[in-house]
Amino acid sequence: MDLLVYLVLSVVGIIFIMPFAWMVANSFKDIRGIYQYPPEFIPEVWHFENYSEAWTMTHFDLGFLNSAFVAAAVVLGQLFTASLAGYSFARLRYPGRDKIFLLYISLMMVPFTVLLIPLYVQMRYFNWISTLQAVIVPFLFTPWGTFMMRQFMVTIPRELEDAARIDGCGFFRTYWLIILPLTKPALATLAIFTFVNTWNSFQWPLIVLGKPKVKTLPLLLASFQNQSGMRTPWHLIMAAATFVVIPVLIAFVVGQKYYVRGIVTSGIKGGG
Amino acid sequence: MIRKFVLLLTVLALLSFGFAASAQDMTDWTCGTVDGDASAAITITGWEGPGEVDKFLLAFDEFFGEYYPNVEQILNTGVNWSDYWTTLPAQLAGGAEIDMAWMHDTRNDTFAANGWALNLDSYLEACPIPGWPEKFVTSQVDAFNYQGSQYAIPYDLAPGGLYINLDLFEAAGLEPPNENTSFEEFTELAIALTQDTDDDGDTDIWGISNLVSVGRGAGGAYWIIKSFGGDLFNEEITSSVMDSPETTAALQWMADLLWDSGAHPTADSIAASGFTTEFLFANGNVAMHYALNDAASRMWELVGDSFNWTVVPTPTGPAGRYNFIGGSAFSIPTSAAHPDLAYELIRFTLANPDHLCRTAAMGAALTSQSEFHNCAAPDDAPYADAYHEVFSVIGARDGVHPVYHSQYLEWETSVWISNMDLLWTGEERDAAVAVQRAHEQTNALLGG
Repeated sequence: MDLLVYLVLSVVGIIFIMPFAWMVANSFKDIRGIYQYPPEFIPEVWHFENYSEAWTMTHFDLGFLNSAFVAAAVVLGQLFTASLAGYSFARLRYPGRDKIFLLYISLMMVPFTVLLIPLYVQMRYFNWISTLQAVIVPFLFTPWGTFMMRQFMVTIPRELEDAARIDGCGFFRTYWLIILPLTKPALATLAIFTFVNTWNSFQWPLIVLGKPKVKTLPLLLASFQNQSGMRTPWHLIMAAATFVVIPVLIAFVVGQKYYVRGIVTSGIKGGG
Repeated sequence: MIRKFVLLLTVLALLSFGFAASAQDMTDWTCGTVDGDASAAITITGWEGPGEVDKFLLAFDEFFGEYYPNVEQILNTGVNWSDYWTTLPAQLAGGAEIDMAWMHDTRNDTFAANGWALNLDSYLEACPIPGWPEKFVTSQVDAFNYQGSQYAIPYDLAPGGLYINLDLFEAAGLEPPNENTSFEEFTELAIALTQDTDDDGDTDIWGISNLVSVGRGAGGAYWIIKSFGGDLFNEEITSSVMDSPETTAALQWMADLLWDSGAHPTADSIAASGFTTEFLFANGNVAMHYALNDAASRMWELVGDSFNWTVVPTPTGPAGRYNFIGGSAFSIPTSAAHPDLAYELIRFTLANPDHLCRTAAMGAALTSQSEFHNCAAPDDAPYADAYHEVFSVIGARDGVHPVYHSQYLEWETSVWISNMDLLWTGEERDAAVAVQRAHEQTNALLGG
């Protein structure tokens, strides 16, 4: 029985890995190799120069810096705001707490497409169009992350907080010194989800980041289709897509158990 | 003495005329509404990437370098086609201060009707574009005119034609089609050229490709419909006229190429080949390939020395000869921060004869001013001789496209593609059935 399960899972695993493996294989071919029929998985001649050509074809160095900065800022911001809000909703007692919580998490139901134009108007009002603030600040707060942090925090024994209070800790010190260290697994989960979402974010940056020097990696990757006149340089796009996906791959490998735990805890794969 | 004096006067007169003329040139390209020392940042957005945008960027640099050295250009070009059309409306609806935007004929009326594109009539009146509109290709001027007002200035045109593998014609002992070839003769040619070279029951060489494509808009079929004497909408765009026998006959002719004669590859056979139809032609698997003029330079690169090829006009129908024509333009959004400057930039870029030949030679499309079309195809290109005649003479002369009214995009997706794809995928073989359904849905949409 175990053998059958492993066999089925292996086949499913291979099916899921194939597009990624195909991308990597194509990143070493020339354009004729991409269109060759019947297709060959392993290139006859390995074109390592695709990577250097793809890197120099557009401002990928700047794109990496922008994406890294935005991802780091959003991850840190969401960890702070979601954990603080989660603590408030899990532990503090104040009138309307549960109603506010419900109202807040109901925002998960609002499709982001609906928010595009109002958010754009706001960014314009703040004079943040084509600045990195525009892709950082609106995403510092997360109903999904708050929900996940709250669910985790309600499982922390209340006695630990009581002990901290007896030792003279106020609200913020209790949160900072007692609760936060105990929620590391949830924080790690949130960090990984947020990093992957922010790193891959496309639609909003496309609308709000017009200047080339502030563009993030997914935008540069998309613009690759138009980089070579009338022909799409698929071999270079595959090379660029490979090095763009590497940080996400590292994040996933490092935090794989938290990623799975996040899906189990919240029942949601990725959040807003 | 008198002769010397007259000569001196003549020289002086010529010199002063020359100075005056050059001074005139210097001032002709500004309209006098923007201070030459003004400091500003002009934002420009478009879908064209390197290869197609470079010719314009050169003109932009020349314009600002000459007249407005303190103006900074913020360029957001090379945005993917589909991304561009989802992004731009959101940006403009949000009041984005974009000063100049690439516009397509399929979108012009929608942008004008929504109040996103600036009406350029007052600009054209106050500071006319030299040669406007008589030197511009008429169909392209009209394509960006909405309810009698101009909303964008065309920069190119892209007519359709047939790419011909001359070696396959020679091997079959057939003559390539010309502008007088009828649709019946064309069908016979396509069938005669279709071959199963290895007798395995599968077609190896198709007579014609890319006339029909799953998911394609109505523009790809409209010239055939017009050639058969049909149409899509009434003149007021209030109801459908698709149910005419002529429109039905045109669409049935297209479907029969796929399912009756088998002279055109189906979507399944294209997918099974692993190639696009363009590559099928380049690989020698297609005798006649339908494409716009902007595929020529790409085809030259793909085919190389593999076989002899050229371009010829599409056939003539019972109601006359038509071919598809499309094109793009520069528009100024209503939320532009510097509309006057943007207008001067467009005027300089699209009408200054000093650089229009260079513009025509760079990239793949024909300029919107026909007198520069001779600069388009390189002399050493195998298609150079035929290119001018097929695309800029016949193609521009007979070019048609559907009326891109303000509900066109919605209609194309929800009515045209959803019904015609049934024909192109073989789910429905009778064009009359698909046409009748599309006719009723069109009337429901237009309120007819």
